[in-house]
Amino acid sequence: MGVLDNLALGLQTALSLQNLAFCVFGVSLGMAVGVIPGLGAIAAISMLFPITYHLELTPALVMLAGIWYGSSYGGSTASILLNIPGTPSSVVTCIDGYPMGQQGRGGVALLMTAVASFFGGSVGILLMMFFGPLIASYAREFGAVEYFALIVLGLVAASTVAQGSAAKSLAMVTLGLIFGTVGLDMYTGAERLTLGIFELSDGISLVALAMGLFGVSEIISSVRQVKAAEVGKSSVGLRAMKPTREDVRRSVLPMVRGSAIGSFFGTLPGTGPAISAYMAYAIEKRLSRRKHEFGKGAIEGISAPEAANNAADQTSFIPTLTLGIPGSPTMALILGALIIHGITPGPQLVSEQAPVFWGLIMSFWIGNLLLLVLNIPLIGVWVRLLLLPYHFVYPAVLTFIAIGVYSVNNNVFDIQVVLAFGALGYLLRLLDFPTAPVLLGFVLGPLLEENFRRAMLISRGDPLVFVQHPISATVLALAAALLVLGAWSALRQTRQGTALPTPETD
Amino acid sequence: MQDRNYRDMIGGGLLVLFGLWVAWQAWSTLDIGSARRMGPGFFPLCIGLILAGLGGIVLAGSFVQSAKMPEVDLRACVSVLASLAVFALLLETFGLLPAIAALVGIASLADRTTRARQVLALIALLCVLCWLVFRLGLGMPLPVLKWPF
Repeated sequence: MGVLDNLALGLQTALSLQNLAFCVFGVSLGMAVGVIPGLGAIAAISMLFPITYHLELTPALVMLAGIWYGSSYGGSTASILLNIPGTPSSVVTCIDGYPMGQQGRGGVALLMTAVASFFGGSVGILLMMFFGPLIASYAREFGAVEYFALIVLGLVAASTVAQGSAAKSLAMVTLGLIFGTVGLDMYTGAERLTLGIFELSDGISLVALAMGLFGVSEIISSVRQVKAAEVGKSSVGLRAMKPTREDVRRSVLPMVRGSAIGSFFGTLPGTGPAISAYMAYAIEKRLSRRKHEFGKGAIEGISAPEAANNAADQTSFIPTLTLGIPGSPTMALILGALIIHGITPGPQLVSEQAPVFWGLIMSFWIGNLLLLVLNIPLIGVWVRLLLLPYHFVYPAVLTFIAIGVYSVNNNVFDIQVVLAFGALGYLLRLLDFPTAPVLLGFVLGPLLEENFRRAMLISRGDPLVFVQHPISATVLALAAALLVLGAWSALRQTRQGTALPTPETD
Repeated sequence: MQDRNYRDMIGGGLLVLFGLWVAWQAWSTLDIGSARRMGPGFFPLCIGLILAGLGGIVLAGSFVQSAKMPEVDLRACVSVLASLAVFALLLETFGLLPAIAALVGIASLADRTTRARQVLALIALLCVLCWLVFRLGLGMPLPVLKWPF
């Protein structure tokens, strides 16, 4: 099929009434959870995940993806108006966005972040349209050996590239792998680590694990911290939004650079939108001739990171959909939705499930356009959401979590699993361990084991097979290099005698 | 306090114990097999040992670092978790509405600023909303209200 055929097919899929409705729902919800501090995209996606069991694959993916990129649009609103980032990826936007709000230029800042987000998102989607099928056709020749190596690289990169202790992140990935082995063994049917509990022989429910680790533990640690705030209404009217010609001129190049940075880091495992936004900000500051304005309301300081985090949002779908290897916990949930619908994630998705792949891409265009349009006239609604006290939000979220997880199997046991993982998640936060890698390990664990066992079967038990295949050798060497790098920087940190706090990744 | 990272000491120690426990479980209850034809216990044994090793690294690091102990919000932790536990208990015996009321009531104890009247309003709102969405909208087979005695 030609490119145009694919696009037409995708557009036709995305414009069907059902998909359109779920796209609107997804991006609006994403926008809302992005605005509300203490409620992020992962929590929202895991909350709505049970619904995907009742939906077809395409609308389910369209909705979950909409929440993901919608939250990046919404996150900047809280940053600009309150100096509180709504999502981890909009932390940087506070630095210059909040001063702009204080100077009465909040409206301009909101408009420019929406435009920059749209620009970055568009670049990301274009790259995905171009590189997605290319990578998929290349990867179709990969066997178990190559896949094992790629998954190892994905897991190692996700835990060593992110900030914080590499040993801790790797330990969390391994913990996730262990949770992934619970249940019946795929070849022999032997019960593994089920503790004799009957319900565990089906394995730990992905929804329950994600809701507990991210939803419940997030609530426990936010209850005291999140306070509703006051917003000056004057600076967010429609008239106050008109940027000056100077604003536009100063934003164009930062947006282009931000999109490039975001697109690149979005595809790598471990470096999601949050890190992309940091990088984009740092680079703008270094390049700028007006360094003294940064931190005091420089418009470059919001347009570059916002373009970067949205570009990264889109390109992070590339490895997830074309290789079946997610780089972040959110992508792991998207992968989970595929697996639930009986689709083995991998390069064959692009060709065999063409309506799903292209439909999703076209829905990104629609969703991004919607967000651009929704963002500006509805700003009053988003501000109202910001004013919602957290003590109304969290009991409602808990209720939806409890009912949602119950609805998957109509089983009370799953609520207890949520409880257990909520407690574990809070404990891990207290002990300064990152929780995101647990989910990544949990989703990739069964794939890792399957490919490992298959590869060893083919090679008749010779582990050297992983080094003899050129692709897997290269990939594993890269993983080893990252490990050495991680160990080296950890040693250096220890010598300085300080333990850095681990920032939440998304 | 001494120059020790007690946080990592506890965390690393727990990971070592858990990793060893997983490896021991795999070793004692499952067939390990051979490298050529792996049994169900091979993979869990490997990752259990890896986890114990990584936990050991974290534990070792804790002796040469210092860090503050975290503040535990016991009230929030207990009330949020208890609200879920009570919801699980009530849902199938008393039905959805009492379960929601109990969940919201107990969870609201986590935050000291909440007023009783607000909690009641929230319960009413959520009951109506959940009934509309889950029972009418999605048609889930949930008992709305029942009396088991």
